[in-house]
Amino acid sequence: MPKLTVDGRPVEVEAGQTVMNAAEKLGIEIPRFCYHSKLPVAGNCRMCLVEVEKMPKLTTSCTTPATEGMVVLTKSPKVKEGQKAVLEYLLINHPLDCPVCDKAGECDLQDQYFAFSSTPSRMIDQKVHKPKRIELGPTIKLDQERCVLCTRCVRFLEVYAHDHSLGTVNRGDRAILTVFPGRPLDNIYSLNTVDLCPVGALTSKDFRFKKRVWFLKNADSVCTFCSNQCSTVVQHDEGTIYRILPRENEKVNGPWMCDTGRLEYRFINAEERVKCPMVRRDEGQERTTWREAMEAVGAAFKAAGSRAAGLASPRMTNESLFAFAKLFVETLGSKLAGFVKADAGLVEGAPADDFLIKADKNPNTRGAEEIFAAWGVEVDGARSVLEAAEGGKLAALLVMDQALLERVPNRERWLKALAKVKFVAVASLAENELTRLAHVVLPLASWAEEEGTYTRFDGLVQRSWRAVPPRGEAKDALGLLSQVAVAAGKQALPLVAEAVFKALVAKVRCFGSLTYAAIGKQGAKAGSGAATHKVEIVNLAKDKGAGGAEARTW
Amino acid sequence: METTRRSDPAPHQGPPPEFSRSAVEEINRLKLRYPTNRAVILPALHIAQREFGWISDEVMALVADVVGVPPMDVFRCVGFYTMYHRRPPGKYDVQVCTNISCCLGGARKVLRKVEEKLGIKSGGKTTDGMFSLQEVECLASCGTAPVVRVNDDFIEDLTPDGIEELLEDLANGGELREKQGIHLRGQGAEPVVSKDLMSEGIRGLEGYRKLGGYQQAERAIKTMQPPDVIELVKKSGLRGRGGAGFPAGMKWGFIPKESAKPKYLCVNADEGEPGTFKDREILERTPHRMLEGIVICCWAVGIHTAYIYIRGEFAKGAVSVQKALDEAYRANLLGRNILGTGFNLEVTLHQGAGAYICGEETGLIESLEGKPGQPRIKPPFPAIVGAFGGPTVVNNVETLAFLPAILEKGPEWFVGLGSPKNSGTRIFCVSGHVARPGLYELGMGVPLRTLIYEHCGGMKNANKFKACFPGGSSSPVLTEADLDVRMDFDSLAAAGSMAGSGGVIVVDESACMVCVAERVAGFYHHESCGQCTPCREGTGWLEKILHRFEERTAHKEDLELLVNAAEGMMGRTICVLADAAAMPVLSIVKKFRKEFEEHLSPGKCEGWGD
Amino acid sequence: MIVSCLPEIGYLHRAFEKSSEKGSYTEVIPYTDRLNYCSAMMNNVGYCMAVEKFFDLTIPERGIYVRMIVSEMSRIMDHLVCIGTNAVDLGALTNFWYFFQAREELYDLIESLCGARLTTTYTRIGGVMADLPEGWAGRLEALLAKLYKVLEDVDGLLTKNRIFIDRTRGVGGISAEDAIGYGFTGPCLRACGVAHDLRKANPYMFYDRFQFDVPTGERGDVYDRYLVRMAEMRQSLRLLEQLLATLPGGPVNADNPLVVLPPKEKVYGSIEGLISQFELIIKGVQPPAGEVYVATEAANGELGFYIVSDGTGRPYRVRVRPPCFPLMSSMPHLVKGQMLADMVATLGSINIIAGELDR
Repeated sequence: MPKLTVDGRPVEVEAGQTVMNAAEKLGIEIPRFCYHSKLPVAGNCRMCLVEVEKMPKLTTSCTTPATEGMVVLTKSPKVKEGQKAVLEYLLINHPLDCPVCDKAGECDLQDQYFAFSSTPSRMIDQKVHKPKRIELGPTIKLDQERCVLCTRCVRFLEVYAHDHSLGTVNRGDRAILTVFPGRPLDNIYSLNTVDLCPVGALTSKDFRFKKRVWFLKNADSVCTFCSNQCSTVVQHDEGTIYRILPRENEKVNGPWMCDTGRLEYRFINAEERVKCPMVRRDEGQERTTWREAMEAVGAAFKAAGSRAAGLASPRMTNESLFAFAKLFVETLGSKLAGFVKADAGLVEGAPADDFLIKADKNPNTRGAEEIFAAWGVEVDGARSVLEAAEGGKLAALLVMDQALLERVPNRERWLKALAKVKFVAVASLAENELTRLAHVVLPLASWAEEEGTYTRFDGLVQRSWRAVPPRGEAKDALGLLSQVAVAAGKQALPLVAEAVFKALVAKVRCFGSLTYAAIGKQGAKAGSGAATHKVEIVNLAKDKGAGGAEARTW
Repeated sequence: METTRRSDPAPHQGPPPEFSRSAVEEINRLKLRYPTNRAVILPALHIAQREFGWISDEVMALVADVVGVPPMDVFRCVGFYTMYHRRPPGKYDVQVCTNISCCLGGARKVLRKVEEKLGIKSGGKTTDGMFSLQEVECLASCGTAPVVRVNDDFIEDLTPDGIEELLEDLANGGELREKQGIHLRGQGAEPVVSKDLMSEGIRGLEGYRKLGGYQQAERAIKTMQPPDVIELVKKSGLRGRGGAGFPAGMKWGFIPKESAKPKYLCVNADEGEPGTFKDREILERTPHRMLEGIVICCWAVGIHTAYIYIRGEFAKGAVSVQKALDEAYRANLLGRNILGTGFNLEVTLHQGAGAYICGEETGLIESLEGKPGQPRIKPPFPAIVGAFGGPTVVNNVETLAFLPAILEKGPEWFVGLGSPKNSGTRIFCVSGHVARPGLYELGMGVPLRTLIYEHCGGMKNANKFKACFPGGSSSPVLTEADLDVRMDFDSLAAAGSMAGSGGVIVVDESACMVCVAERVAGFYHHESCGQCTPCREGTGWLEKILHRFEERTAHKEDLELLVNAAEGMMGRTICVLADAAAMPVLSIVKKFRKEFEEHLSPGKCEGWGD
Repeated sequence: MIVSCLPEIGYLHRAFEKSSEKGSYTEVIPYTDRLNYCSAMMNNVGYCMAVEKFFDLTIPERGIYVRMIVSEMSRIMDHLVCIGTNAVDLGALTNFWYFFQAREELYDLIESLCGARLTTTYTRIGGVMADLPEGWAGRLEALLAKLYKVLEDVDGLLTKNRIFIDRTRGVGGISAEDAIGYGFTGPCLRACGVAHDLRKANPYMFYDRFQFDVPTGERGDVYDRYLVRMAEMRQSLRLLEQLLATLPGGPVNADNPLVVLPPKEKVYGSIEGLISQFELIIKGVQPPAGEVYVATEAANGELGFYIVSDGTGRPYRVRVRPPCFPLMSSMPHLVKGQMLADMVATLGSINIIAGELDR
């Protein structure tokens, strides 16, 4: 465990760690482009130069092992000169693209030039020109002039995605980042390279030119597109989501996430969303008010009594699932509730791998299982609902799983059964085959429009904060379920997620004694007992900054 | 000077390429000689270029498939190494060297003649497909400058008339033949390495053995303990002749005795320092002396696998070395159970493909492993983590060639041949404006004045001495005031320059130092590997600023800018190519500042004296 | 007779201070125009000086001169309004026209300087928006003579005017002690005989290099306030003469790339300039965490800016010390026992500018 001093401050690090690690441990900021804590060291940008006593030349802190008694200076005049020089060289051929470059506002080159140099240009010769706006693959556009050849993208793909598509070709200042001719970068983790890119060389085609990052606000969330439940940041402005980035969480996904999770937000903004309730009339489905819709729902469920059933979805939050189960089992007195598990059907998605992607494309299968079990609902609850429907025993059904028909193995059977149910209400985001057969369609808020928790496949419970208000007249699940209860002549259900969570913890034993505070931003497992209560120090600077994901690591 | 974009090739014509069976067999044989498939990429690409004439994207994919590596790995090499053609060359690919010594010898006139005669510029091809033209960097033939390479053959001592004649001859169906000039010009009292170079032709195994060849290697293996060999070499004070001058014995001593990973010797035969042309001679004319040195070294350090990394342009040298290897293997001097001693040593010839930076020891190792020759961060040093992860010695050809004689005559003898702490002789490569440029094997302590005025016959046309690069173009220049300096490592370092590779480039009053500086900068710009920021961007910037001086469009502030741009690179990079670019330029600006100031106003300079 | 009066303020409250927390430090400068909008440039200067105190910035000499020139011009313009409107409230219309004509000429100069008349937003942190246009200094110099003449004219019409004196002498007066107690500063304080002027008491910019007097009154009444303002305008003209005579060349903005935008040729012509521009605009100037209070002698008195920085590009708190707040709060004292007509005279004499009062 070598002990050394950095800028006069003593620090001890593990054997094998570098001077950079030592400085970071002390909270000392060393600028860098090519270094990334999760990637193998390259040492080519030369920006992290530091002065070490007894070494004749400046040395790169990311490649220099920390040794006992080392004396390191990170802010000496020699170091500052070195930093200014490296930045000058980086900029002599850098194109004047800031006004059209997506990276502006979260650009390492901009930020580090400003903080560590701010020396005016001395370059009056013609800059080296390289191709721009290159289609690197389905998700990424490349600008070779902006590229600083840090090779973070190359290293990431090689190590984490086992993909050798990217590489640097040519010598000297003719070097470019590229793919093999005719073999584009088509990897499910490709967009991580855009996060990693310290400049605007790699840009996401999805996000390109959509929004300047300093307008974006952050909402901490989780990805709901597989049970890995990567921690995310949803970036939005004025009610529209523009981008999803990974949020660093050592317990879950590190600083990475897959492209699916990043891009699936698009439907939330889409025009095709169900924005207001619909009711079936003779001529077909028509838009209506919540009042009318609820009157129909209420009438049906009052009449149905215990011949009511519900189908939830493993995409719902723990709180919504708890409220759902409570509504049917307790409030309506029907044990006919359940959900269709992922493995019961075929759901499309990227194949599971040894990195992040899981086979179960739902975020909360485990939560659903545990909650329904706690409410005494049998494991095969959905099947019971199906059989009851087939037997003509169902008078009212509430479906909160819009993908039901895609999920089940026997679509025809379900369709026949649903036709026999007297009253079917479907809560959904999208119009589809299922909603078209409903008597009432209720617009449901998406995962980004509600607050709640989800349980990962390994039992880790994570919180998701609301990013944008529900579109149109959509209601979040808690609100919707409460309205159903009231319409059915029963008492309203709690609307606030945290309150529901408290009730949930009391009833569902495997949630232990978790609280929202204990879950915090990194999630917690129920077994963690008295979960470490992290006091959050409000960092005025961080909170006030406009845009720029908290998830960005240097 | 790169006129074609290597990542923007010509389109492939015709059906998808297929290797001949013999090519596939050759590639598979090569795979057995390396621990990884990737290391076979460069050799496989040479085979592909032989078969298809050039490397298209389709050929790259084919090579990747046959070698068994991701296509990007092949692309990176093709983009990096300039010998691989990205568009079909002419029947005769004319490569005109326009590096310093050749320019001092009138290469520009030769180039202009070629352009005029063929009607094309560098990077172009005649419409009848007969000739393509390239400007290339130093071909290691500086003593017989100007030099042109046509396909694989060297045509030396050229003049504009000479090249015109050659082109006409080839156009009329004449046969292409290599035409070398006189390389070895002089020796001191006791020639060591150049002992075999006195006679014509190539010293084969039989001839070498007649001189006592391989006796020392046999003696070492049969009677000496490896540590004793190392000790002996340490005592001899032999310092590396590749450029750095690091004590060879000490370097060998860094290799751990025990190692989980195999140990390797990489012979640095990638002679690329402008002004240097001695290793080429040893490789072509007396390869066995080097091979014996290899055996001795490997015995001393406990190495069983050696690679001779030879410069891609040395086609004749490669043939010569391969022949020598075959002879040595047949004579059981290499391979398994050498001379019945139980000592195994496999030596493989590995060709580079056109990159000066592969002469840097870790650049060489990277290239050997089948990657672009981008130098590694040190530490770890090759002695600990080198080729394929194992402890590696990298030694220059000439350095190894001294070993047989040192073992034969003893370390003290070797010390006596040179000056204190700078033992032995070295082969000085003198080029530029001297009467008799060429190779001179002399004791290390020979004064520069003696070298030029006694051995080389003085200045060409009795012109006045202006400046010289004592150790290749990477060395700071010396002026008239320095003529009495001794040409050894320590003396030259004390004089603010370096002995380097022994390439002495002499410049007389007829040349313009601003032009010289610009050409020097251009070389490093071309050769920078591009890995780290200061060198990648700085070498290009340096050339651009110097170009403005050359064109006389520079401003007063540019003098300081030039110095800053050069100094800013130094000491901040992964390897010393940046320093090699900066230091000579800085020394020229410092010692010839007036010429730069003069170039601030319109006018004409002497240029290259042509 | 007035028994008591209760000033109701706040009708022009536009949340200046809270709005300042929303954007960057530079984005506050336009808000400062809208404080005392009759002398907008002085507010710009005062605010920027406060922000600059966080940094170790050297504003070049010419920059300071330019700031002083526009400050004194603004002072004159403010006093012209005050006296002009005060007089017209009392029925002396001609003076209003004379003074407002003079103001028009000054407005013309300001318009050619920064493109706006009223809401100038002229200064920047680290300097000013742009240097004086060519010929501008000459135009101002030529105007000075006209201004002297106008002052003479109005002086002749009002100072010994029986009606004016009757309406203003002994009206709305306050003792020096009481004035200090209320927190008076500026002409109203000086009218009470207290020779307190921040430009002399706590010199800033280059005021200590130039000759000017601090006129005072005796009784602190409306008449004395009028006299003090008239005299102050002459002193400002005097200062302007000196400033114009010794105006140095050179840059107007500090040489600090973390604060001052690069010149446009650099922004469009180099990546470094472009990046600096982006960083400064997106992140804003970022003063180190801490607090400052900087006060200048504005037309109405001590205009103070108290700024708290949290180290980011947005101000944590910007508090304005408006000079006319204490003046307004003293109104009950000033008019007690006076006639209703005196109310008009008094209110006009303390120069309440609601923009500054209510912020």
